[in-house]
Amino acid sequence: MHESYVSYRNFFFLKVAAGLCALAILVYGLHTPTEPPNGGTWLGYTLGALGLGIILWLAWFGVRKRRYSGTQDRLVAWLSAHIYLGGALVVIATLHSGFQLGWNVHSLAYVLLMLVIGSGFYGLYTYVAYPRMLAANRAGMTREAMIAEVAELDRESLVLADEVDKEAHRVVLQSIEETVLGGSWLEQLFGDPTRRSASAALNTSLDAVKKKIETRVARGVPQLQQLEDQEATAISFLAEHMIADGGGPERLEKITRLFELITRKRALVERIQRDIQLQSRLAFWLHLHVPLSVGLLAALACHVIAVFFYW
Amino acid sequence: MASERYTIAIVGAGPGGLSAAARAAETQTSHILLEAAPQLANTIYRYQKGKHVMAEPGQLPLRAAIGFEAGTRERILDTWQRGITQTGANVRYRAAVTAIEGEQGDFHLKLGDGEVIRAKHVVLAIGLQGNLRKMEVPGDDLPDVQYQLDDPDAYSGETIVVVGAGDAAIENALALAARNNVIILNRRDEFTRAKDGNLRDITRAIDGGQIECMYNASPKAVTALERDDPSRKRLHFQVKTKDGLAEVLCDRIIARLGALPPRAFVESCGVVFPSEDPAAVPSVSPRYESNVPGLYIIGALAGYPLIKQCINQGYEVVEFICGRDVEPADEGLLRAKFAHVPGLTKVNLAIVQIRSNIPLFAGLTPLQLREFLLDSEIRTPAAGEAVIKINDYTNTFFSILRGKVYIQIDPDNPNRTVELGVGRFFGEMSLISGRRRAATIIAGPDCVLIETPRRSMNKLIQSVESVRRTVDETFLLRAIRMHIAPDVPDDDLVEVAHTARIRQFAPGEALFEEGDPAHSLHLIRSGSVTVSHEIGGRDIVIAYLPSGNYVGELALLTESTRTATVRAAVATETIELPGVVFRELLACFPHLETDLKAKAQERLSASARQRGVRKSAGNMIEFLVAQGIGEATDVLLIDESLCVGCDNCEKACADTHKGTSLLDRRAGPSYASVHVPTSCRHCEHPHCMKECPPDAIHRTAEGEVYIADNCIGCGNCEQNCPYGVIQMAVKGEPEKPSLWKWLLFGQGPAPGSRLHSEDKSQAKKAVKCDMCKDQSGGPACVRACPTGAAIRVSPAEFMAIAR
Repeated sequence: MHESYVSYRNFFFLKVAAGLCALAILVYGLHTPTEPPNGGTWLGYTLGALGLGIILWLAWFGVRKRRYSGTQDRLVAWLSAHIYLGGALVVIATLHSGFQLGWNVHSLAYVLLMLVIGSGFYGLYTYVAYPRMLAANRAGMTREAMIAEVAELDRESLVLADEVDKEAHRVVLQSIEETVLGGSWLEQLFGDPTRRSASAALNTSLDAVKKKIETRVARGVPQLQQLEDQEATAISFLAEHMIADGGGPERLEKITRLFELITRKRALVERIQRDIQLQSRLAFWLHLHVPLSVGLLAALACHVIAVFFYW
Repeated sequence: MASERYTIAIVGAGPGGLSAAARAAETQTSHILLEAAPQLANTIYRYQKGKHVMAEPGQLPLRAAIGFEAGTRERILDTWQRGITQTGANVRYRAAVTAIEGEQGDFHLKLGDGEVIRAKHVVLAIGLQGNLRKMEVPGDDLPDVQYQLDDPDAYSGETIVVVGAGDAAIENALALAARNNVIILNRRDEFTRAKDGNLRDITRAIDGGQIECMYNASPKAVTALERDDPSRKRLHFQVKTKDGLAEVLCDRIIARLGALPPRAFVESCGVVFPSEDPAAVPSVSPRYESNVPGLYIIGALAGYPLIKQCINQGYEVVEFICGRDVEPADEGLLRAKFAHVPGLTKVNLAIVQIRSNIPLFAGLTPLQLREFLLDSEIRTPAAGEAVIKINDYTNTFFSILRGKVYIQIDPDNPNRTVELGVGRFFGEMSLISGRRRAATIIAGPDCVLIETPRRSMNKLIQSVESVRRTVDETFLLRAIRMHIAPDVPDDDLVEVAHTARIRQFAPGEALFEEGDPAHSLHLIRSGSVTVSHEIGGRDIVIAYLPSGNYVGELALLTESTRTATVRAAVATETIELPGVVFRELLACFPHLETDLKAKAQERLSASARQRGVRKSAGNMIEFLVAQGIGEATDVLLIDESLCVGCDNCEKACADTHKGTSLLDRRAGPSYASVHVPTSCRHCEHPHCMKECPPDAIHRTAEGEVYIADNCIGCGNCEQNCPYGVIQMAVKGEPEKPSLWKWLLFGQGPAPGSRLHSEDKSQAKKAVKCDMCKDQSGGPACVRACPTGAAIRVSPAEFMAIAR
């Protein structure tokens, strides 16, 4: 029932754009100007006018997108057309240039146009790929709900740690205090979501316990049960160690539960980091596309004025 | 001893008494108003601060010497106080009347302090609230046992037992729970009498552990504990439970058990009650006179509990006592309603004609009928005019007072019609099922129709048994005719209809299960069901059927056991037709069997296809049904694989709805990349419409449920909506953000920003999705979605595709 902007009306705008390109190429092939092909021939002017019209119309998308009332058509149609007609500009603008590039404002406009289109296509890629990844990562939860759950897990584990002993409380508290979500834009975009979530303090502490236990194992006291995760191993050993110390099954249960909570929290924090990362990557391309478009419009204005000034 | 003999002594300074005293003062009739409490309108005085008081029935004009309109408790009390002062009414406070003796012309009213007031006429306006129902167990009058709660904030840190399961008990328990340890005592195993919103809140509080609830528990005895009791509590409360006697130590017991007519006192005045029922009220003449001549009874004690009715009666009773005739307050309004009907210009005549022409209303008292007519419209459509159009979402109820109408039974052929004559009614199908109109109905020549809105009709159906029965029977007959046996003569169908019964199913409850023996056929009357098969040990939903469909015919036709499990998706009502009767019907009308078999075959092959198909489709239906989509008519679904999270849908909504987004894109569950955001589903039977005091929530013919401007901001709909889609927003029209100012100069908010009113003191009003009914082009959220992720669909349509 959902009709995507990519396949909107059975790829109607793709067909329009392809037709336009084919027509332009055909006419370009048939066209035999007296001078080498350039923007100054009748075909050059035609293609230039067409390209300019399309660019202005594409830029209008920023306005149309924000016009919420008084519009009859659906924005999805506009986006579909925006993408395919934008793509067609590669052909139209290139033919308009007659493959003549140099160090001037005209070529600057051309390069900017290509950058805008490139960023647009990168955006298309993210729009196609990321929503699925985001949805899979969220698995039906909202980011707010995940953060709320982290807070709840923190609260629970702190209460539990308090019941275990002072050291446990200290370690857990530190881990809570060191949990940072998001970070700078560079971290958000390129950071490793799994690395940043793990609390250094917790790891160090668990490592220390593990070491201590390992030396005991060497002496043959409790059994080292090798689990997949380093923290799991540590905690399980911590537990056994406690029993050996006479902590009793109740203490063991609390430690096991604490472990569960911490592991769950870690997984959740990873998911949140990943969500932030995917979301910021999803939005990032617009920070290229829009400023480049503004630059393009400026360069284009210079290009047009220059052409008519030096007629 | 007082020597003066008043013309009228009024007992009780509630709305009725106040109004009577004010009118008496205004007409300079000698009078005295006796009030036991130290202030006017004690019941309303004891409402919680700032409580909104309604002025129902809204249509009824006020006729009084004092003012009254809906507003806060404070404003109303103030209006009355000023009214009493201005008219110079003679009020005596702290004057509890303990006995009334004597007869017309010379009544003796004995006061608590022994004084005797003499009067020619007595108006009893004491209401019911002076006689709160007690627990009636030993110790029920100890100092810390109370039957009212004025200010919940006055208590903190106490253990309080709230007895009762009604709205008052729940509201008290919830308010007290913030600062106290609260236990609520419920005689039954659930809260059935409460409003939906209260029910939800109390259930949540009990589940969340904020309030402890003792179900199936009733009070046995209360004893006071010694001051130095080690528990440091004040009361010892014995409670009978299913498992025997339980003991509760607490500081306070608040029992909210309602109020009863103060029967002993009223009977001691010589007034006779019609029955032994403790809730019975004495009967009075149309002039409010009781069986004791000269003793008048008005207000709640006479069976009229609404404030406006009491006030009008206070005025009228003084007029009657002074020998002035007044016509009922609603006379003018009713006359206007009938003004355009030739030959029915007199209201009384019209009422007689309605009662004699329309059997459905024969059992109504004239007062009930008047109230009913006040809400209704009298329509005189031109011959050939469509009164109801097929597929419209209207839900009014029509009764035929004169003339006839034609029902178009074949949508493809408008000439095939069935005639409906005087005294019959129509429109009950959409009223009951909450679905679109099933047929177009055309007015005949000279026809006069009474069109009644959904709420008034539902009220009547719920309060008058004979109306409920007649409407149900007719619905049954018509539903069977429409969906199962179109060409069977009426007489045969009546017999069939008599054997059918209406069944109610809770969400998730099975109508029948796969493998059960088949005894009956179910026609879905309201709500919807899912059909599921056990595949690989799991129940897989294969179909979703809204009301108007029938289930269970397959096993009857093939004389086998049930081939699938059918469960109610939401609260559902069905018409259950016994299999024996159904088979007899088929035996008499062989063509029916052929038709039904053909339909059944279609279904069977569809289901066989389904069994082979991926299981996820079934799970999708199951998921959507779990989200309550089973009662939706139109739902916003977001494809997560397309949604880029731009929030343009929310911005579009805010921009077109005064700066408030009525949908929450992020919230809500998802399944297999279909996300159900928090957004109105325009339910078949909208929960929000229940308990809307000004009846401000309506449905357009196209199906959108919207809130009209007469919303009073009470918040009932917000509480009642199970999907959390209604918000309270400040009224008023914030300036719409300018796109160009924002885009070019960075001035002002961006289009689609959430706008907040500066003025916090302004009253709030409920807002919800109206599907952009006033805009062309459809819902703004869908129009503004750049990727096509957001769509609005009817669930039946969507689930058909999910299959």
